[in-house]
Amino acid sequence: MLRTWRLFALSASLLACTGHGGLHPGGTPPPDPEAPPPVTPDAGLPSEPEIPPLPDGMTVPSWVLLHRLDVFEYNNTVRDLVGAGAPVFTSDHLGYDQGTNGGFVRGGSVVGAEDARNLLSSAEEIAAVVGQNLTTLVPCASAPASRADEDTCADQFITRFGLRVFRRPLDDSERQRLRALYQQLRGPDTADSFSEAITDLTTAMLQTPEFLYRRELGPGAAIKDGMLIRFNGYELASRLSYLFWGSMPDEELFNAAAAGKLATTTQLVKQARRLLADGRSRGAIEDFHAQIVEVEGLESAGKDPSFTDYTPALAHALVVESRDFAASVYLGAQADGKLASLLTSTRAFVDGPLARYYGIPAPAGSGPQPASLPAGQRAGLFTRGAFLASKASGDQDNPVLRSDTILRRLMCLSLPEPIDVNIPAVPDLRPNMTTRQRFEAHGMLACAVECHQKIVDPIGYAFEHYDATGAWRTTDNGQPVDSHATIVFPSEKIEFDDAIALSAILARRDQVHDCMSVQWLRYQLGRQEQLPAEQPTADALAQFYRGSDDLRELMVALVRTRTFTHRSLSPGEPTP
Amino acid sequence: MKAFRLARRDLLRRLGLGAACLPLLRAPRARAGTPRRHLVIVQMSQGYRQAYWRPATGSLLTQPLPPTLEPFGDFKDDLIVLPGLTNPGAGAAGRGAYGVMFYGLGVTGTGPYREPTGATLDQIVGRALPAAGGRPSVNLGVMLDRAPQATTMPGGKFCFWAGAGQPIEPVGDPYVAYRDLFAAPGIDTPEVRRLILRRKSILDYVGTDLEEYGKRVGTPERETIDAHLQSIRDLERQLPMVTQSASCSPSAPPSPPINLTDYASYPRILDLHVKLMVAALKCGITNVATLQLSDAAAGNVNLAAFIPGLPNRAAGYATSTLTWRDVGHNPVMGGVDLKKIVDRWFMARIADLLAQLRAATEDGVSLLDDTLVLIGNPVDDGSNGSAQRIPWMLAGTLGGALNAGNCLASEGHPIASVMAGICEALGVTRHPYGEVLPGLKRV
Repeated sequence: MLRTWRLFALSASLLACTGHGGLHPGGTPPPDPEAPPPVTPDAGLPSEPEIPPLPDGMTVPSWVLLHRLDVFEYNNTVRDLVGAGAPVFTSDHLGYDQGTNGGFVRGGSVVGAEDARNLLSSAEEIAAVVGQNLTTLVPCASAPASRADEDTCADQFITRFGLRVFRRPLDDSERQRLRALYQQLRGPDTADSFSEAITDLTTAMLQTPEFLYRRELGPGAAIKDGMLIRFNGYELASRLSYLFWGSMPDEELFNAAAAGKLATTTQLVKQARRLLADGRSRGAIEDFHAQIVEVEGLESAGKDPSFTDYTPALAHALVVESRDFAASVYLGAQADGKLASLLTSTRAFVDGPLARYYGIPAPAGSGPQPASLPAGQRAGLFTRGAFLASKASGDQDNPVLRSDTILRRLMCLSLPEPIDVNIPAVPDLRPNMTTRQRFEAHGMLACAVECHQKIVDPIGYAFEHYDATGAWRTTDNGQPVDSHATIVFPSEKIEFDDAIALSAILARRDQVHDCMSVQWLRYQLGRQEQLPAEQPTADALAQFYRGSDDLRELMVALVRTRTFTHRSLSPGEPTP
Repeated sequence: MKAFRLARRDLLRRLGLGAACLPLLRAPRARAGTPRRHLVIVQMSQGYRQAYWRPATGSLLTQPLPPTLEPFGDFKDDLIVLPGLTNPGAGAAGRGAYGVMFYGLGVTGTGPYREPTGATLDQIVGRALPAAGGRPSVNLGVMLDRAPQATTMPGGKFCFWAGAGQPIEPVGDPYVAYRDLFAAPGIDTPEVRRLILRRKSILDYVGTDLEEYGKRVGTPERETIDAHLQSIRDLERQLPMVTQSASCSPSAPPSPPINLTDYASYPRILDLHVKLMVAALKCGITNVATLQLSDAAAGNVNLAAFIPGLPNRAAGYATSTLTWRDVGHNPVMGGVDLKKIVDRWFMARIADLLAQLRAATEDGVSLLDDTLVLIGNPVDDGSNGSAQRIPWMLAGTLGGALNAGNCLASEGHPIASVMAGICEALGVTRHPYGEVLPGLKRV
């Protein structure tokens, strides 16, 4: 169930790649790490003004967590590694992604033989595709005439394909171990043919931690920079590619790393802009926002049969539409990168069933078409069906769930769960009792007043015009919907009529802008920021974003932070 | 991780063989001779309605069992009731304690879903009692993946851990578990042997690479790499095991497959998992089996779909679900204690597990005689959510090692003291749990 929606991103970004003329992963020969770095097009041109790092020099970045490729990243990486025919895997094959304290997922731990076996099976499946495309990936494999030629070609394969699997050049010992494996496979016990041995080598490489984990190491010793470690060119290439594409570096990034052209902030920003402009960035942008609105599991959740128009196909379309909309704020002709657009725009991409769901005329043409949702009913990402239906039970909308996500994801507020108290259930449905009335009865309980009645519930009430499927309604259980509410913070009150008004208020608040910069930082880091050590970075990003008010520029600004370029040594890590 | 695809998708394709040629991976029949020891851990949820669950302190043989425990009538001699345990460091909030409910040695973080800093009891025991089949444990779960999920945080879904940051994903699909553990009779052909050799070479390389990688990272990352490496080594050990006694395989799960997302399938899945656990122990595939019956929130399964006596909330309204969390937080509806009904229903399923263990034999001895079953719960009662008054139970005497047939005065004692007793009764003398709960071991 987990990650099915992330597969859409893969498909979408594949299409986007084609449409944008992106590099076809299997169609270009891999770079030769032993060849001299190519001359880049800007060589000899007048130098551009240097872009400085963000003013976060006081940050002491934490050490890097071991982050196994999640399903989204694994599939993207395989796609870009082997090209045409790349298999696509799900959580059933790779294990379920795990949440992190930063609110975004990473690949699950490998614990037990079953996990290892599934990684073996997946690697074998990918290796079979490599075996079929061998002459594309390694030209010498077309017709080696002798065993000696085959051995030489295997060496080339290890060096060239190994660079792309490890995302950096292999060192001598790593090449030697792979050569030894190749020779063993060609030996009398297994008697692999040349192509079988190359396929098995691939299977082996795809199970290495260098491939499976985003904790780039090397090549060579870590670069000390004062008390910190500065990432080398290959490590930065991966940090760039996984931030913007959720995938491995492309040839240009590998070449830049080899040529030492990822050493300055200016060079990093240049690459960041290039990656953002490439169609593959769509997948990462969609992934970020799908995790922000927490639509995971919507398609398999189902709804009460009384919602006769709500089908699995509609749920799927809602998720796709939500992702399409988020991406359209960053990419495409109408993109302006504004948070206000993300939170208030009525722009949408709908097909016939979605148009019916949103109460607008069916568009001409097949597939999702640009459209405008009813301005009085929808405004931005959090009034789309995917979020609203996800934050509801099968039969009832749930103001608390909706509010909880708004608070955590848009306002970066995490309210503590009451401890060791009986939290009474929200009363059952009764005839003529609206959802709001049920939750208000609950919120008046003494234990719930401070958080629920003043902050949590009012935000949720703003969304009372949307039922358990996210469809618009004017009555609830026979009574008129009341979506007017007031949030009572200790220092201010915020009053609004409905979710449309609330979204507009949120879009203007510095708190929400700051939170958005924190969320992108967490997505890039794969963890929550460490305070106070990394506070300067969070502050600098927030300051930058308030000034630019452009989410695309915010993404690019991430590469200007000290947390992007540096890390601390892990506890117990060998000192360089 | 979930699916076992090796046989169907890879092996058959490579060998061009038919559907009968399922996995390479299976366990040999266990040794004869030295007595084996087994541990089964069942994770329950939302505590118990104490008034209907808790017996008087003292012998169970001289008192009628409370209503919730009545299904254990045939197992009074085996039962140890442990009310009011504490889980220091787990915090007080109910769902936050779920991830550390079988840890008991301190926790990381103060977030809503806590995680252990090391391995949980199942792994401590499983590593100390290696089975011939090479698996430290078999971990199963019922409908944990069914939407809606309360969280993706590991501490909200996993309660068994190989180490810090290493939750063990239980297998939820009994068909997958069956294929993985037993499947069809093994095949042993030159092609299969060659495939095994190729895979052994590959895995050996991967293991060496992991070892080298582990030398370059820090301690926290090394724990993750070590777990990964151990997984590779476990798989390597399983590769050569081509043959297995057919008498050790359980009946295959029913065909056509049951619907794994239909609420009504819950008892069928649970029943199949119980059969698989018993068979895995009997066959020597593992000495430790765990069964998760819910995630931390326990809010994704409609109990009314399969537990008799629960009202269908849909009557007259548009509602459809009644989850474990619902009845935990709001146990009495319309004058009926629904949680009491739920508690008893689950106890009956666990009593069935005990009955199956008793009926199974190894070397002429009832499996129950060699097995200890821990029935754990993260909180006292769903309506108070207290993680510091925990009701646990044990079943099994292990040849008289434990003071079975009693409700012990365990209030205020840490769960670690119970886990210490479990380890020592199983013969695991090196454990991290400290002193044994007074009265747990038979003097």
